[in-house]
Amino acid sequence: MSVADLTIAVSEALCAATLEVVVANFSFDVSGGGDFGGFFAAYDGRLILKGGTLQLRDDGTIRLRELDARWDKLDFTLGLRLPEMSLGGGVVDLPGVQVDLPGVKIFSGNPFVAVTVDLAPFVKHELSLVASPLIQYFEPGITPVGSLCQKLHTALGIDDSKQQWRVFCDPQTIDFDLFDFADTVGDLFEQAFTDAIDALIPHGPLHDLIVAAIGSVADLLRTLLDIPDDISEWLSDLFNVSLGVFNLILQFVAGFFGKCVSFFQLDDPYPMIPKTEDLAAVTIPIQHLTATVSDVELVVTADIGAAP
Amino acid sequence: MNEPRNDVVINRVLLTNPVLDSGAIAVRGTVFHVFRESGDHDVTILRGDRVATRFTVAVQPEGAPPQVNLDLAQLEAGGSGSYAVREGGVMSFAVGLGVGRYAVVIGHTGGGGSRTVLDSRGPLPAGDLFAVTLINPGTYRATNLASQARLPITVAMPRQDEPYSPARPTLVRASDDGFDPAAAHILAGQSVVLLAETPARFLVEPVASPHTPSL
Repeated sequence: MSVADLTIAVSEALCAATLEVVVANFSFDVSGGGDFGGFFAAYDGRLILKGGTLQLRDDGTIRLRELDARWDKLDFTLGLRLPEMSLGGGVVDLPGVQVDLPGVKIFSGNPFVAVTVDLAPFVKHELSLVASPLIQYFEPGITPVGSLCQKLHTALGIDDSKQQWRVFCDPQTIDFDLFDFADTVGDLFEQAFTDAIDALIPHGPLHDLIVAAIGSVADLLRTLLDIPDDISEWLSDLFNVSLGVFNLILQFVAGFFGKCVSFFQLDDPYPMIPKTEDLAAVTIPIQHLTATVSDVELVVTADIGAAP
Repeated sequence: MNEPRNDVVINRVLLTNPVLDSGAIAVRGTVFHVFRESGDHDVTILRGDRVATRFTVAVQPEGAPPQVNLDLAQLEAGGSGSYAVREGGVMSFAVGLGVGRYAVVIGHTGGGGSRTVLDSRGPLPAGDLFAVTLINPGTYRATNLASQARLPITVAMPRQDEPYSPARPTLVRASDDGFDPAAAHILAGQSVVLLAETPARFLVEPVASPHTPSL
């Protein structure tokens, strides 16, 4: 029989303080890549958060705003499969016979040239989200907890050894800008490939001939990558869509707030009277937890006692 | 996931500017032999005085390719075999990589004996060709050692405002009367093809500028 209602109000200030700890411990290590036929792309980065504000709203949602998403590092590797290049060659027509000149190959070996550019200084985002309170029941040893979540729980004082009701901010909408690399990023890659080709082919007539044959390193990049104009725009699209980094981040953020870090937790059974020297602790089971948000506080209610 | 490595290698011989000799086939100097008679041929590839490899060529009136391209450095590394080429067809002897210099000896084996139809260490027979690809801009001289005729060749860098293709060979005929045309002008990276209208041995060498001491 339910004997009493439990009502706990968590202030916006307390939620904001929790957000500060959460943000300070947020880091997303992400890496991947793909072979796209004519070229290869790979990335290795760590996304971190800074700042941000929390606002409880009277429509029952929690808004996290102006979280500054930055990259601690973002190494982006682009590898090009060089086309077969030859000097000489061509056809000579003679009476009764046509002679094909085989040409002289300029390169041998694995025809890949790869460069890595640290894009971290050139990418900055703002992250905002609107969340609803989500109640989950935590059972030690049964409810899965990832290593990052364990680290965060330690930082936040969340005890993973107890059965608990936990209240998460489950993102309903996440507002995160698509990656939009500045033109300077395209210039950086062009320069990196120019340096790589300069290192491969010493300056001299052969170097000049190869550049004459391909037009320029920028032209070569556009030809091999099949991009019509702006390499920065192409890189942004590659990062966002083809490599799927944008979606990975959204999924991580959703899981981070919706499944990993709870803003409020309540032990079950709840310790009504602590243990003393003479008496054992008095604990009461918690049931039917609800969480509602107003513009000033997060209110958690529960039934205390055994089920009717 | 395999990340690419920068292990592409430049053909370093292209950074040098050696003398090119139809009697010592090397990178950038290719001999083309025209098989005029059908029948079996024995081919011996020499590197210096050493036999690098041997193979046979079946020259057929029809049903065989009109041209076969061989890389002598690859053949030396990879063994022998047999080839077929159409009567009147062409076999090219080139060197793709390395500093090796090779010679080709071809014998026609019909009628129970063997008759040499090509020994590239000597004059190329009429109808055969020697193609050279020149990279460094400047002046070169082609000499037909059989007639002592000389051909000046000028090599210019392509202009930036013009489309450039290295696959534009220039044909020059070599006879007892000399070269025709009497001079050749090409862009760097293109080829001059010397056609022996009479037996000829070709040597193509850079001409030292009066202001540039030769090394």
